[in-house]
Amino acid sequence: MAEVAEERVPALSGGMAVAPLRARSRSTRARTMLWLPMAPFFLYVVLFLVLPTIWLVVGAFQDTSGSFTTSNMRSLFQGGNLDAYKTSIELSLATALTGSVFGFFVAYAMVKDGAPRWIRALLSTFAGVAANFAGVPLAFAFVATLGTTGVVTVLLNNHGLHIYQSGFTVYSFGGLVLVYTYFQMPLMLLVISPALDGLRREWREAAVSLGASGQQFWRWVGLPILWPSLFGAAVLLFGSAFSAYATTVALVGSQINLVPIKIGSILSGDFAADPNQANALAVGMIVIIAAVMVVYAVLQRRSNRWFR
Amino acid sequence: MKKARLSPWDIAWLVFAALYFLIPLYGTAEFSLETGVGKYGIDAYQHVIGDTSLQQIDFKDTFPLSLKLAVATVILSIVLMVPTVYWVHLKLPRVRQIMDFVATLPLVIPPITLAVGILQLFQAGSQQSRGPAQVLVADPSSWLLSGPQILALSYVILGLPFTYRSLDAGMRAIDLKTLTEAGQSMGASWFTVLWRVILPNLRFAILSSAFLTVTLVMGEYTMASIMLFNTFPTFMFVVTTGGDAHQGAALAIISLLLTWAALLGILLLGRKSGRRDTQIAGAR
Amino acid sequence: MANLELRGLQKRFGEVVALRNLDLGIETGEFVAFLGPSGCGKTTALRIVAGFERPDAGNVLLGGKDITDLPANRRDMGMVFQAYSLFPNLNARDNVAFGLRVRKVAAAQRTKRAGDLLDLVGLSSAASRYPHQLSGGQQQRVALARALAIEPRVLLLDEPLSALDAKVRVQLREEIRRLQTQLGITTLFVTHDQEEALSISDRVVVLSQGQIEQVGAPTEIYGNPLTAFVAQFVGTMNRIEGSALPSSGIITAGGTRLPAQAARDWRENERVLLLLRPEAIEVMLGEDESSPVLAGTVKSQIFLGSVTRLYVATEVGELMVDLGSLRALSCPVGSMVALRWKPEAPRLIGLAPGSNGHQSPPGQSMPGPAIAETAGRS
Repeated sequence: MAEVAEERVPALSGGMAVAPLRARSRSTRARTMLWLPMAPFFLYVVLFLVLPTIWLVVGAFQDTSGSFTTSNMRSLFQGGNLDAYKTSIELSLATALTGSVFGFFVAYAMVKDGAPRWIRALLSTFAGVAANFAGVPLAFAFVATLGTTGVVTVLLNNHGLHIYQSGFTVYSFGGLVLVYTYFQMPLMLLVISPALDGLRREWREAAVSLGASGQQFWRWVGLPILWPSLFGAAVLLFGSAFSAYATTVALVGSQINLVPIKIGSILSGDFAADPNQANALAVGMIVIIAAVMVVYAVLQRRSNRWFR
Repeated sequence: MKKARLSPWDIAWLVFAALYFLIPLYGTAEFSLETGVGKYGIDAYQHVIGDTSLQQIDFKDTFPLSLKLAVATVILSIVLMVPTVYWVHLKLPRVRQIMDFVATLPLVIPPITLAVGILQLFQAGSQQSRGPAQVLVADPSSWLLSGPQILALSYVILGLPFTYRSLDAGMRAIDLKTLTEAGQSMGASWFTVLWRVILPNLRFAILSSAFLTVTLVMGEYTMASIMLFNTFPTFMFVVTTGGDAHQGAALAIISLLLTWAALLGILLLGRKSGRRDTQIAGAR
Repeated sequence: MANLELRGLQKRFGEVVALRNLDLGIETGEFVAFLGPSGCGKTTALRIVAGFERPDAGNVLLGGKDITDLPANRRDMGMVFQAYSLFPNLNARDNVAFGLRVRKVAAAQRTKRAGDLLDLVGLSSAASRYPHQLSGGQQQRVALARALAIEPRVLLLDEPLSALDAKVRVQLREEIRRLQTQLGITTLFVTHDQEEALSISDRVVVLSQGQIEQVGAPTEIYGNPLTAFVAQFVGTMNRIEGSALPSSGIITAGGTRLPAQAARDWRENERVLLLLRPEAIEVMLGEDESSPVLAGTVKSQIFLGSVTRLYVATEVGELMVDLGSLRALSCPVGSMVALRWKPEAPRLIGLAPGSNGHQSPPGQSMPGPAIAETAGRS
């Protein structure tokens, strides 16, 4: 290509020294023009996403004087930090489960042929509201409902069920599960509905016409087709619970040892520790969630096989 | 054609869901309207909005700030994302996969960790004190950290997954190539094509992503609190955990109504443009 | 195998009446097509037979037994849907064997039978492939094999060819018919394509708005339509309004007399619709000395392959005339042509004021076991 251009260019410009340079830059110029408009976006992402993350990781391997150390990272496997990860993972697994199961059955009821259209529209709206309600308002809503003087607590008390005396408190692991499910379930609803929609009515009817019972259909056709989506959704729920901060800190403060809470405490000075510890904890979080997302991506690809 | 009716099992789940969603909302609303034992009124709302004496931060300062942040984030997102997604769809379809990945990153990197990273990065940047680094890095960094602008910039990243998905879906639905070629054949510049041809056709996608961004910003607590800014959610936090519970409830209800209004806005817009698949509801 | 009887089936969905009292008997081994436009009730009727819908009134009897209340998965009927009914997570063989698996047939036997059926439909080479790896035509063949695997008493086909390419459609419909004849299964075939219905059925049931318009053999339906709807829906018809003249034919509002032997069965001056197939109108050659029925000018031609359709403007309106394409060359657009037809060719349908042509001439009863709604002709 360069030779051709070299032959032509002298005829146009008359100059010889200019020729090779011009030829080469023509194709690179084209490529630059193609990628240039992407620059603002990539620059922005680098500046506000990539670099901060890299800085975060770097900071995890530094001590207060700036020299390299692995002690922060190693401390993740000790005592309070390890506990924090354990509790976070437990909480995330628990609420991934509750959210998935709850969300699946509601989604199924909503997507069914026999369901009136308005149920779906209503639930979808609520799902959107509930998913966005997460955070401080949600924590408060549950305090107002199931706190020591909450509306439901008082109601139950009036009927002889003194739940706080029996040991229940909303400011606990169990309470968190209850509260998290409030935004986990809608997430499941939103994520699994398209997959359920994709479950064609013809498959169910064909199975029935061939003599299958409801159970046989689900066992041999329905669940095999759905399980990648179900699992993928559950995995997404896990990630969502793991990262939750606002709701938790509003509800239980630092009473319960969770990784995001710990990070917040260190940064705000409530918890005495080297600030780089917060970095290390954050890196640990990123690693776990990254692993989670990889699993999700793999499952997504599998579930797409059926819906071609 | 309607086939299977809803079984009792289905109805039970639906009723359970309804109760589970509604009872806490009811509890909050009731709390917000209680002024004493058995008495009701909107005192809590009046106090929480009007009182300036109790806390260092108050409604008058925080709510408008959050609104401004929301608007700024929306504008920034649109200015950044619309041309980018447009260009990708038009010229670089292979980059779509990368974009999908990048747009999912903010979901992988928890907001709390991102907050830490951004803070530390720009704090470090603002400490450069030699020659060109001072002007190019330190000064901008200090400026960024000096006010809530850093929040708006961070929120753009947080909202990326939703913004990108919305715009991506919107652009997929219209024939970008033909529209662009038509515009260019009539002599329009890139800017004109974007502004006069593409944008009007993306109205729904842009508005829906704008609404989602607004709800995101008005509810975002984590980054705001880590970076020590006084936004509406942080105000809510202070009131809820420290002050009057009734006022906290009032704020929660206000926030809920806002979200509701935004989502209704999307749904109504969706119906007007004849769309049946909004970002919120599932596709039929 | 058994015979099927539909008695007085009625079904409405909210405001919409899908079926208005359907009565039909289908003999064992018969291939019956339900033909009609969308919304006519044909699919609803099929789904009621299959058990996916419950009728508001009426019964379905199989081999004499009332199965109206029998759940769909106990009816022993094979069903082929329009598209996408193969289980995507199972390969062709497992799809076909599905019904056998439900019936707890042993694995080895299942595999063998599935293999046999795939042979029958010509797809043994694709046994291990998954639905997304098969073409539309291949998928429908597997669906057919799957339905036949359970040796059903009745085979139900819900527009199985509508989603396929034209060529594949023709091939597959002949195969379906061949298989059906070979196995002798009572078959119900729903379609909106009249060519499909006419080419492979023993009998055709023409439906419109939830009612049977006519039941009969394909030649009957085509050659002897009893209502204006059937005449229009099946094949193409020229329609000319006029008043009956029992001795000769009809006379139009404009005073033109047209021959129609069928007028014998009508009373003087009854308002009728004269229906005439395009192929029944002859274009007279120049040497022909006999008098034409009508003269007209060729307005346009449509080349349809071996046949060309002329649109001829005459004093009674625009008529469609089909003739061999070679001959059509001598009747270019703008030329004058003389037309005639045999007096036996036209059909007449009653056009009493306010009716929509559902009536037959006095004295003539509806053929077949179907009951079409008559508008009280005495």
